[in-house]
Amino acid sequence: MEVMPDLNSTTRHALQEAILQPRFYTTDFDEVDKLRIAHMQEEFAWMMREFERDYNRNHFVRNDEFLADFDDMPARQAFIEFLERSCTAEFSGCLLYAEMYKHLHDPILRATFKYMSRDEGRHAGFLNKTMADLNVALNLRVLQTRKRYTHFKPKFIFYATYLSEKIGYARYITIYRHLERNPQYMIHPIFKWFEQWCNDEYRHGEFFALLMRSQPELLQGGNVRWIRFFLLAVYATMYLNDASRASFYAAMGLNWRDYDQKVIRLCNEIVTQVFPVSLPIDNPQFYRNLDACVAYNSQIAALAGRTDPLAQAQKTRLRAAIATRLYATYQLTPIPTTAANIWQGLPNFPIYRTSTAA
Amino acid sequence: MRRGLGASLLAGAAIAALWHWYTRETLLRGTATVHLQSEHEHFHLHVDLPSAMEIEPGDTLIIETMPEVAGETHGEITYTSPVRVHKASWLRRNVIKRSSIIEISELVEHP
Ligand SMILES: [Fe+2]
Ligand SMILES: [Fe+2]
Repeated sequence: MEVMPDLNSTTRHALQEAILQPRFYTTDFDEVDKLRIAHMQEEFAWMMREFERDYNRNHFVRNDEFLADFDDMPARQAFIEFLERSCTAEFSGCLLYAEMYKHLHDPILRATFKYMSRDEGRHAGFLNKTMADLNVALNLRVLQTRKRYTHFKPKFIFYATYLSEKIGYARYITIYRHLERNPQYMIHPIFKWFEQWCNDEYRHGEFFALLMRSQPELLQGGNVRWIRFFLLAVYATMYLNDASRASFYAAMGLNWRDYDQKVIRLCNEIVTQVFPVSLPIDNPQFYRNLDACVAYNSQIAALAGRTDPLAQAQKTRLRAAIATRLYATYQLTPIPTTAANIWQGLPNFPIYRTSTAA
Repeated sequence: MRRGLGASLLAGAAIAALWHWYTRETLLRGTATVHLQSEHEHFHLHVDLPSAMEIEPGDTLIIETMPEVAGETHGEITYTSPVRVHKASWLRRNVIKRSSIIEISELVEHP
Protein backbone atom coordinates (compact mmCIF):
# COMPACT_ATOMS: atom_id res chain seq x y z
CA MET A 1 0.00 0.00 0.00
CA GLU A 2 1.05 3.55 -0.70
CA VAL A 3 2.70 5.28 2.24
CA MET A 4 0.97 8.45 3.28
CA PRO A 5 2.75 11.31 4.98
CA ASP A 6 2.21 11.36 8.70
CA LEU A 7 -0.57 13.68 9.56
CA ASN A 8 0.58 16.08 12.18
CA SER A 9 -2.57 17.15 13.81
CA THR A 10 -3.11 20.87 13.53
CA THR A 11 -6.65 20.77 14.75
CA ARG A 12 -7.92 23.37 17.19
CA HIS A 13 -9.92 20.67 18.90
CA ALA A 14 -8.59 19.17 22.09
CA LEU A 15 -7.22 15.64 21.99
CA GLN A 16 -10.06 13.24 22.57
CA GLU A 17 -9.87 9.58 23.48
CA ALA A 18 -11.67 7.18 21.17
CA ILE A 19 -14.33 5.17 22.91
CA LEU A 20 -13.98 1.62 21.70
CA GLN A 21 -16.03 -0.96 23.48
CA PRO A 22 -15.65 -4.12 21.44
CA ARG A 23 -17.79 -7.12 22.25
CA PHE A 24 -16.29 -10.47 23.01
CA TYR A 25 -18.25 -13.54 22.10
CA THR A 26 -17.87 -17.24 22.48
CA THR A 27 -19.96 -19.82 20.77
CA ASP A 28 -20.08 -23.57 20.61
CA PHE A 29 -17.12 -23.91 18.27
CA ASP A 30 -17.33 -27.72 18.33
CA GLU A 31 -20.86 -27.50 16.99
CA VAL A 32 -19.72 -25.18 14.18
CA ASP A 33 -16.83 -27.52 13.49
CA LYS A 34 -19.26 -30.41 13.02
CA LEU A 35 -21.21 -28.64 10.27
CA ARG A 36 -21.15 -30.76 7.14
CA ILE A 37 -20.51 -28.77 3.99
CA ALA A 38 -19.14 -31.54 1.76
CA HIS A 39 -22.38 -31.72 -0.27
CA MET A 40 -21.78 -28.09 -1.33
CA GLN A 41 -18.01 -28.21 -1.40
CA GLU A 42 -17.78 -26.67 -4.88
CA GLU A 43 -19.79 -23.65 -3.87
CA PHE A 44 -17.86 -23.12 -0.64
CA ALA A 45 -14.57 -23.43 -2.52
CA TRP A 46 -15.78 -20.89 -5.08
CA MET A 47 -16.73 -18.53 -2.26
CA MET A 48 -13.34 -18.95 -0.61
CA ARG A 49 -11.62 -18.14 -3.90
CA GLU A 50 -13.70 -14.98 -4.14
CA PHE A 51 -12.25 -13.85 -0.82
CA GLU A 52 -8.81 -14.96 -1.90
CA ARG A 53 -9.02 -12.56 -4.86
CA ASP A 54 -9.11 -9.75 -2.34
CA TYR A 55 -10.96 -7.31 -4.57
CA ASN A 56 -10.35 -4.43 -2.17
CA ARG A 57 -6.65 -5.04 -1.56
CA ASN A 58 -5.80 -1.62 -2.97
CA HIS A 59 -9.01 0.18 -2.19
CA PHE A 60 -8.32 1.52 1.30
CA VAL A 61 -5.58 3.91 0.27
CA ARG A 62 -5.97 7.42 1.55
CA ASN A 63 -5.48 10.44 -0.68
CA ASP A 64 -4.85 14.15 -0.17
CA GLU A 65 -8.49 14.79 0.62
CA PHE A 66 -7.89 13.24 4.03
CA LEU A 67 -5.30 15.93 4.77
CA ALA A 68 -7.91 18.67 4.69
CA ASP A 69 -8.85 20.63 7.77
CA PHE A 70 -11.98 19.11 9.32
CA ASP A 71 -12.14 21.47 12.28
CA ASP A 72 -15.30 23.12 11.06
CA MET A 73 -16.93 20.19 9.34
CA PRO A 74 -20.66 19.89 10.01
CA ALA A 75 -21.72 17.56 12.82
CA ARG A 76 -18.07 16.93 13.74
CA GLN A 77 -18.81 15.31 17.11
CA ALA A 78 -21.61 13.17 15.68
CA PHE A 79 -19.23 12.10 12.92
CA ILE A 80 -16.60 11.10 15.50
CA GLU A 81 -19.21 9.02 17.32
CA PHE A 82 -20.15 7.41 14.02
CA LEU A 83 -16.46 6.53 13.48
CA GLU A 84 -16.17 5.12 17.00
CA ARG A 85 -19.24 2.94 16.62
CA SER A 86 -18.20 1.77 13.19
CA CYS A 87 -14.64 1.02 14.29
CA THR A 88 -15.94 -0.90 17.31
CA ALA A 89 -18.23 -2.99 15.11
CA GLU A 90 -15.53 -3.70 12.52
CA PHE A 91 -13.02 -4.59 15.23
CA SER A 92 -15.55 -6.89 16.94
CA GLY A 93 -16.24 -8.60 13.61
CA CYS A 94 -12.50 -9.01 13.07
CA LEU A 95 -12.15 -10.75 16.44
CA LEU A 96 -15.23 -12.96 16.01
CA TYR A 97 -14.12 -14.21 12.59
CA ALA A 98 -10.58 -14.75 13.90
CA GLU A 99 -11.93 -16.89 16.74
CA MET A 100 -13.84 -18.94 14.18
CA TYR A 101 -10.82 -19.68 12.04
CA LYS A 102 -8.74 -20.53 15.09
CA HIS A 103 -11.27 -23.09 16.30
CA LEU A 104 -12.38 -24.75 13.06
CA HIS A 105 -10.70 -27.57 11.17
CA ASP A 106 -12.32 -27.52 7.73
CA PRO A 107 -9.68 -25.80 5.54
CA ILE A 108 -12.24 -23.97 3.39
CA LEU A 109 -14.18 -22.58 6.34
CA ARG A 110 -10.96 -21.67 8.13
CA ALA A 111 -9.61 -19.79 5.13
CA THR A 112 -12.91 -18.01 4.52
CA PHE A 113 -13.18 -16.80 8.11
CA LYS A 114 -9.56 -15.69 7.97
CA TYR A 115 -10.22 -13.62 4.84
CA MET A 116 -13.32 -12.07 6.40
CA SER A 117 -11.32 -11.21 9.53
CA ARG A 118 -8.72 -9.60 7.25
CA ASP A 119 -11.42 -7.44 5.65
CA GLU A 120 -12.91 -6.32 8.96
CA GLY A 121 -9.47 -5.49 10.39
CA ARG A 122 -8.78 -3.44 7.29
CA HIS A 123 -12.07 -1.57 7.65
CA ALA A 124 -11.32 -0.95 11.34
CA GLY A 125 -7.87 0.41 10.46
CA PHE A 126 -9.29 2.83 7.92
CA LEU A 127 -11.73 4.18 10.50
CA ASN A 128 -9.08 4.22 13.20
CA LYS A 129 -6.82 6.43 11.07
CA THR A 130 -9.69 8.72 10.17
CA MET A 131 -10.32 9.22 13.88
CA ALA A 132 -6.64 10.06 14.39
CA ASP A 133 -6.95 12.80 11.73
CA LEU A 134 -9.64 14.38 13.89
CA ASN A 135 -7.36 14.27 16.93
CA VAL A 136 -9.21 11.34 18.43
CA ALA A 137 -6.58 9.02 19.86
CA LEU A 138 -6.98 5.37 20.46
CA ASN A 139 -5.88 4.18 23.86
CA LEU A 140 -4.84 0.60 23.22
CA ARG A 141 -4.85 -0.06 26.96
CA VAL A 142 -8.63 -0.26 26.90
CA LEU A 143 -8.18 -3.40 24.81
CA GLN A 144 -6.05 -5.11 27.44
CA THR A 145 -9.06 -6.42 29.28
CA ARG A 146 -11.64 -8.54 27.55
CA LYS A 147 -14.41 -8.48 30.04
CA ARG A 148 -17.07 -11.07 30.51
CA TYR A 149 -17.23 -12.99 27.28
CA THR A 150 -20.81 -13.59 26.31
CA HIS A 151 -22.17 -16.54 24.40
CA PHE A 152 -24.43 -17.02 21.42
CA LYS A 153 -25.52 -20.27 19.89
CA PRO A 154 -23.94 -20.80 16.46
CA LYS A 155 -27.27 -20.42 14.69
CA PHE A 156 -27.89 -17.08 16.39
CA ILE A 157 -24.46 -15.92 15.26
CA PHE A 158 -25.27 -16.99 11.69
CA TYR A 159 -28.65 -15.22 11.57
CA ALA A 160 -27.41 -12.07 13.28
CA THR A 161 -24.11 -11.80 11.46
CA TYR A 162 -25.70 -12.48 8.10
CA LEU A 163 -28.19 -9.70 8.76
CA SER A 164 -25.67 -7.27 10.14
CA GLU A 165 -23.48 -7.76 7.05
CA LYS A 166 -26.40 -7.26 4.68
CA ILE A 167 -27.84 -4.29 6.52
CA GLY A 168 -24.31 -2.90 6.73
CA TYR A 169 -24.16 -3.13 2.94
CA ALA A 170 -27.58 -1.49 2.61
CA ARG A 171 -26.60 1.35 4.96
CA TYR A 172 -23.31 2.13 3.23
CA ILE A 173 -24.61 1.91 -0.32
CA THR A 174 -27.62 4.09 0.51
CA ILE A 175 -25.36 6.80 1.95
CA TYR A 176 -22.99 6.46 -1.00
CA ARG A 177 -25.73 6.78 -3.64
CA HIS A 178 -27.28 9.73 -1.82
CA LEU A 179 -23.95 11.59 -1.66
CA GLU A 180 -23.24 10.74 -5.27
CA ARG A 181 -26.44 12.56 -6.21
CA ASN A 182 -25.94 15.32 -3.64
CA PRO A 183 -22.19 15.97 -3.41
CA GLN A 184 -22.77 19.21 -1.49
CA TYR A 185 -23.44 17.02 1.58
CA MET A 186 -20.15 15.13 1.38
CA ILE A 187 -19.04 16.12 4.86
CA HIS A 188 -15.96 13.88 4.79
CA PRO A 189 -14.10 12.01 2.02
CA ILE A 190 -14.41 8.66 3.81
CA PHE A 191 -17.90 8.29 2.33
CA LYS A 192 -16.37 8.13 -1.16
CA TRP A 193 -14.85 4.80 -0.15
CA PHE A 194 -18.20 3.29 0.80
CA GLU A 195 -19.14 1.82 -2.57
CA GLN A 196 -16.40 -0.76 -2.75
CA TRP A 197 -16.18 -1.08 1.01
CA CYS A 198 -19.78 -2.22 1.24
CA ASN A 199 -19.12 -4.87 -1.39
CA ASP A 200 -16.93 -6.54 1.25
CA GLU A 201 -19.88 -6.55 3.63
CA TYR A 202 -22.20 -7.86 0.93
CA ARG A 203 -19.70 -10.64 0.18
CA HIS A 204 -19.45 -11.57 3.88
CA GLY A 205 -23.23 -11.84 3.91
CA GLU A 206 -23.09 -14.07 0.84
CA PHE A 207 -20.89 -16.48 2.76
CA PHE A 208 -23.36 -16.68 5.66
CA ALA A 209 -26.23 -17.14 3.20
CA LEU A 210 -24.34 -20.08 1.74
CA LEU A 211 -23.59 -21.48 5.17
CA MET A 212 -27.28 -21.36 6.11
CA ARG A 213 -28.35 -22.87 2.79
CA SER A 214 -25.98 -25.76 3.44
CA GLN A 215 -27.82 -26.48 6.72
CA PRO A 216 -31.48 -26.47 5.59
CA GLU A 217 -32.84 -27.09 9.08
CA LEU A 218 -31.71 -23.54 9.96
CA LEU A 219 -34.27 -22.22 7.49
CA GLN A 220 -37.23 -24.40 8.36
CA GLY A 221 -39.73 -25.29 11.08
CA GLY A 222 -39.35 -23.57 14.42
CA ASN A 223 -36.26 -21.72 13.20
CA VAL A 224 -38.47 -19.54 10.98
CA ARG A 225 -39.65 -17.91 14.20
CA TRP A 226 -36.01 -17.15 15.08
CA ILE A 227 -35.49 -15.69 11.61
CA ARG A 228 -38.45 -13.35 12.11
CA PHE A 229 -37.14 -12.46 15.55
CA PHE A 230 -33.69 -11.58 14.22
CA LEU A 231 -35.08 -9.60 11.28
CA LEU A 232 -37.12 -7.50 13.66
CA ALA A 233 -34.25 -7.18 16.15
CA VAL A 234 -31.93 -5.85 13.44
CA TYR A 235 -34.45 -3.44 11.91
CA ALA A 236 -35.76 -2.14 15.23
CA THR A 237 -32.28 -1.70 16.73
CA MET A 238 -31.19 0.36 13.75
CA TYR A 239 -34.42 2.39 13.67
CA LEU A 240 -34.29 3.28 17.36
CA ASN A 241 -30.58 4.09 17.27
CA ASP A 242 -30.79 6.24 14.17
CA ALA A 243 -33.78 8.16 15.51
CA SER A 244 -31.50 9.49 18.23
CA ARG A 245 -28.87 10.49 15.65
CA ALA A 246 -31.12 12.57 13.43
CA SER A 247 -28.72 15.54 13.40
CA PHE A 248 -25.90 13.44 11.97
CA TYR A 249 -28.07 12.30 9.08
CA ALA A 250 -29.41 15.82 8.61
CA ALA A 251 -25.82 17.07 8.20
CA MET A 252 -25.57 14.72 5.23
CA GLY A 253 -28.86 15.97 3.84
CA LEU A 254 -30.71 12.84 4.92
CA ASN A 255 -33.92 12.48 6.84
CA TRP A 256 -33.06 9.61 9.22
CA ARG A 257 -36.52 8.07 8.89
CA ASP A 258 -36.56 8.04 5.09
CA TYR A 259 -33.00 6.74 5.11
CA ASP A 260 -33.75 3.91 7.54
CA GLN A 261 -36.89 2.90 5.69
CA LYS A 262 -34.94 2.76 2.44
CA VAL A 263 -32.23 0.65 4.09
CA ILE A 264 -34.79 -1.69 5.65
CA ARG A 265 -36.56 -2.10 2.30
CA LEU A 266 -33.31 -3.01 0.55
CA CYS A 267 -32.23 -5.40 3.30
CA ASN A 268 -35.69 -6.98 3.40
CA GLU A 269 -35.41 -7.63 -0.35
CA ILE A 270 -31.90 -9.09 -0.06
CA VAL A 271 -32.79 -11.54 2.72
CA THR A 272 -35.22 -13.35 0.44
CA GLN A 273 -32.10 -14.86 -1.13
CA VAL A 274 -31.99 -17.27 1.81
CA PHE A 275 -34.81 -16.70 4.30
CA PRO A 276 -38.18 -18.30 3.61
CA VAL A 277 -39.89 -15.16 4.91
CA SER A 278 -39.26 -11.43 5.16
CA LEU A 279 -41.05 -8.83 7.27
CA PRO A 280 -44.27 -7.08 6.13
CA ILE A 281 -42.78 -3.60 5.95
CA ASP A 282 -45.61 -2.36 3.73
CA ASN A 283 -48.19 -3.24 6.33
CA PRO A 284 -49.02 0.24 7.76
CA GLN A 285 -48.93 -1.26 11.23
CA PHE A 286 -45.24 -2.06 10.84
CA TYR A 287 -43.93 1.53 10.90
CA ARG A 288 -46.81 2.71 13.07
CA ASN A 289 -45.40 0.38 15.73
CA LEU A 290 -41.75 1.27 15.15
CA ASP A 291 -42.57 4.99 15.21
CA ALA A 292 -44.42 4.52 18.47
CA CYS A 293 -41.30 2.79 19.85
CA VAL A 294 -39.21 5.78 18.77
CA ALA A 295 -41.61 8.12 20.60
CA TYR A 296 -41.48 5.99 23.77
CA ASN A 297 -37.72 5.80 23.53
CA SER A 298 -37.35 9.55 23.32
CA GLN A 299 -39.61 9.90 26.37
CA ILE A 300 -37.27 7.51 28.20
CA ALA A 301 -34.29 9.61 27.05
CA ALA A 302 -36.02 12.72 28.42
CA LEU A 303 -36.21 11.04 31.82
CA ALA A 304 -32.49 10.21 31.82
CA GLY A 305 -30.75 11.35 34.95
CA ARG A 306 -33.91 11.22 37.05
CA THR A 307 -33.85 8.51 39.69
CA ASP A 308 -36.99 9.37 41.66
CA PRO A 309 -39.60 6.61 41.95
CA LEU A 310 -42.06 8.39 39.65
CA ALA A 311 -39.48 8.60 36.85
CA GLN A 312 -38.51 4.97 37.41
CA ALA A 313 -42.13 3.91 37.15
CA GLN A 314 -42.57 5.94 33.97
CA LYS A 315 -39.47 4.38 32.44
CA THR A 316 -40.73 0.90 33.27
CA ARG A 317 -44.11 1.69 31.72
CA LEU A 318 -42.47 3.06 28.57
CA ARG A 319 -40.16 0.04 28.24
CA ALA A 320 -43.17 -2.24 28.59
CA ALA A 321 -44.93 -0.21 25.89
CA ILE A 322 -41.94 -0.68 23.56
CA ALA A 323 -41.91 -4.42 24.24
CA THR A 324 -45.65 -4.65 23.53
CA ARG A 325 -45.27 -2.77 20.22
CA LEU A 326 -42.32 -4.93 19.17
CA TYR A 327 -44.23 -8.07 20.03
CA ALA A 328 -47.19 -6.82 17.98
CA THR A 329 -44.82 -6.17 15.07
CA TYR A 330 -43.35 -9.64 15.43
CA GLN A 331 -46.85 -11.09 15.23
CA LEU A 332 -47.65 -9.41 11.88
CA THR A 333 -47.98 -12.00 9.13
CA PRO A 334 -44.60 -12.24 7.36
CA ILE A 335 -44.14 -12.19 3.58
CA PRO A 336 -43.32 -15.63 2.21
CA THR A 337 -40.42 -15.80 -0.22
CA THR A 338 -41.62 -16.86 -3.66
CA ALA A 339 -40.19 -17.08 -7.15
CA ALA A 340 -41.77 -13.68 -7.79
CA ASN A 341 -40.07 -11.79 -4.97
CA ILE A 342 -36.80 -13.67 -4.46
CA TRP A 343 -33.64 -11.53 -4.57
CA GLN A 344 -31.85 -11.83 -7.89
CA GLY A 345 -28.45 -10.63 -6.72
CA LEU A 346 -26.60 -7.42 -7.40
CA PRO A 347 -25.84 -6.45 -10.97
CA ASN A 348 -22.14 -7.02 -11.73
CA PHE A 349 -21.58 -8.82 -8.46
CA PRO A 350 -20.02 -12.26 -8.96
CA ILE A 351 -22.37 -15.09 -8.09
CA TYR A 352 -21.78 -18.80 -8.13
CA ARG A 353 -22.95 -20.62 -11.25
CA THR A 354 -22.44 -24.35 -11.64
CA SER A 355 -21.51 -23.95 -15.28
CA THR A 356 -18.83 -21.31 -14.69
CA ALA A 357 -17.48 -23.01 -11.59
CA ALA A 358 -16.89 -26.29 -13.36
CA MET B 1 -43.36 -15.64 64.30
CA ARG B 2 -40.16 -17.45 65.21
CA ARG B 3 -40.75 -19.89 62.34
CA GLY B 4 -41.20 -16.99 59.93
CA LEU B 5 -37.95 -15.43 61.09
CA GLY B 6 -36.16 -18.76 60.69
CA ALA B 7 -37.48 -19.17 57.14
CA SER B 8 -36.39 -15.65 56.24
CA LEU B 9 -32.93 -16.26 57.64
CA LEU B 10 -32.69 -19.52 55.74
CA ALA B 11 -33.81 -17.87 52.50
CA GLY B 12 -31.30 -15.06 53.08
CA ALA B 13 -28.51 -17.56 53.68
CA ALA B 14 -29.47 -19.49 50.54
CA ILE B 15 -29.43 -16.31 48.43
CA ALA B 16 -26.05 -15.31 49.89
CA ALA B 17 -24.66 -18.78 49.15
CA LEU B 18 -26.00 -18.68 45.61
CA TRP B 19 -24.54 -15.21 45.09
CA HIS B 20 -21.20 -16.36 46.47
CA TRP B 21 -21.27 -19.32 44.07
CA TYR B 22 -22.31 -17.10 41.15
CA THR B 23 -19.55 -14.54 41.67
CA ARG B 24 -16.76 -16.95 42.58
CA GLU B 25 -13.89 -16.87 40.09
CA THR B 26 -10.90 -19.07 39.53
CA LEU B 27 -7.73 -17.45 38.30
CA LEU B 28 -5.64 -19.04 35.57
CA ARG B 29 -2.27 -17.63 34.57
CA GLY B 30 -0.32 -18.34 31.43
CA THR B 31 1.65 -16.85 28.58
CA ALA B 32 0.00 -15.91 25.32
CA THR B 33 1.18 -14.72 21.94
CA VAL B 34 -0.31 -11.36 21.05
CA HIS B 35 -0.58 -10.03 17.51
CA LEU B 36 -1.23 -6.31 17.46
CA GLN B 37 -1.56 -3.99 14.52
CA SER B 38 -3.03 -0.54 14.88
CA GLU B 39 -2.58 1.59 11.81
CA HIS B 40 -4.33 2.68 8.69
CA GLU B 41 -3.80 -0.60 6.84
CA HIS B 42 -5.14 -2.82 9.58
CA PHE B 43 -6.38 -2.78 13.13
CA HIS B 44 -6.49 -5.99 15.08
CA LEU B 45 -5.48 -7.50 18.39
CA HIS B 46 -5.44 -11.29 18.34
CA VAL B 47 -4.42 -13.37 21.32
CA ASP B 48 -3.27 -16.98 20.96
CA LEU B 49 -3.86 -18.56 24.33
CA PRO B 50 -2.19 -21.75 25.52
CA SER B 51 -4.48 -24.70 24.76
CA ALA B 52 -5.29 -25.23 28.45
CA MET B 53 -6.79 -21.75 28.66
CA GLU B 54 -9.99 -22.03 26.68
CA ILE B 55 -12.27 -19.02 27.09
CA GLU B 56 -15.82 -19.77 28.15
CA PRO B 57 -18.88 -17.57 28.69
CA GLY B 58 -18.51 -15.17 31.59
CA ASP B 59 -14.69 -15.34 31.65
CA THR B 60 -12.53 -12.24 31.60
CA LEU B 61 -9.17 -12.19 29.83
CA ILE B 62 -6.47 -9.74 30.84
CA ILE B 63 -3.40 -9.21 28.69
CA GLU B 64 -0.80 -7.99 31.13
CA THR B 65 1.59 -6.19 28.81
CA MET B 66 0.92 -3.79 26.02
CA PRO B 67 3.69 -2.11 24.06
CA GLU B 68 4.14 1.66 24.27
CA VAL B 69 3.02 2.58 20.78
CA ALA B 70 0.93 5.72 21.35
CA GLY B 71 -2.08 4.22 19.61
CA GLU B 72 -0.25 3.40 16.39
CA THR B 73 2.06 0.58 15.35
CA HIS B 74 4.17 0.31 12.23
CA GLY B 75 3.22 -3.07 10.89
CA GLU B 76 2.10 -5.98 13.05
CA ILE B 77 3.80 -6.47 16.40
CA THR B 78 3.93 -10.03 17.73
CA TYR B 79 5.00 -10.54 21.32
CA THR B 80 4.45 -12.82 24.27
CA SER B 81 2.68 -11.56 27.30
CA PRO B 82 1.58 -12.98 30.63
CA VAL B 83 -2.20 -13.30 30.63
CA ARG B 84 -4.79 -13.92 33.32
CA VAL B 85 -8.11 -15.58 32.76
CA HIS B 86 -10.69 -15.06 35.46
CA LYS B 87 -12.84 -18.14 35.02
CA ALA B 88 -16.50 -17.59 35.76
CA SER B 89 -18.27 -20.02 38.07
CA TRP B 90 -20.29 -22.88 36.59
CA LEU B 91 -23.44 -21.04 37.64
CA ARG B 92 -22.50 -17.75 35.99
CA ARG B 93 -21.31 -19.55 32.85
CA ASN B 94 -24.63 -21.30 32.47
CA VAL B 95 -26.71 -18.25 33.27
CA ILE B 96 -24.82 -16.32 30.57
CA LYS B 97 -25.13 -19.18 28.11
CA ARG B 98 -28.89 -19.28 28.53
CA SER B 99 -29.63 -15.60 28.78
CA SER B 100 -27.37 -13.92 26.24
CA ILE B 101 -30.23 -13.53 23.77
CA ILE B 102 -31.22 -10.44 25.77
CA GLU B 103 -27.93 -8.86 24.67
CA ILE B 104 -28.81 -9.44 21.06
CA SER B 105 -28.55 -5.75 20.19
CA GLU B 106 -24.77 -6.12 20.68
CA LEU B 107 -24.61 -8.76 18.03
CA VAL B 108 -26.70 -7.01 15.43
CA GLU B 109 -24.90 -3.67 15.38
CA HIS B 110 -22.55 -3.68 12.45
CA PRO B 111 -22.03 -0.74 10.14
FE1 LIG C 1 -16.62 -4.47 7.68
FE1 LIG D 1 -18.39 -7.47 7.22
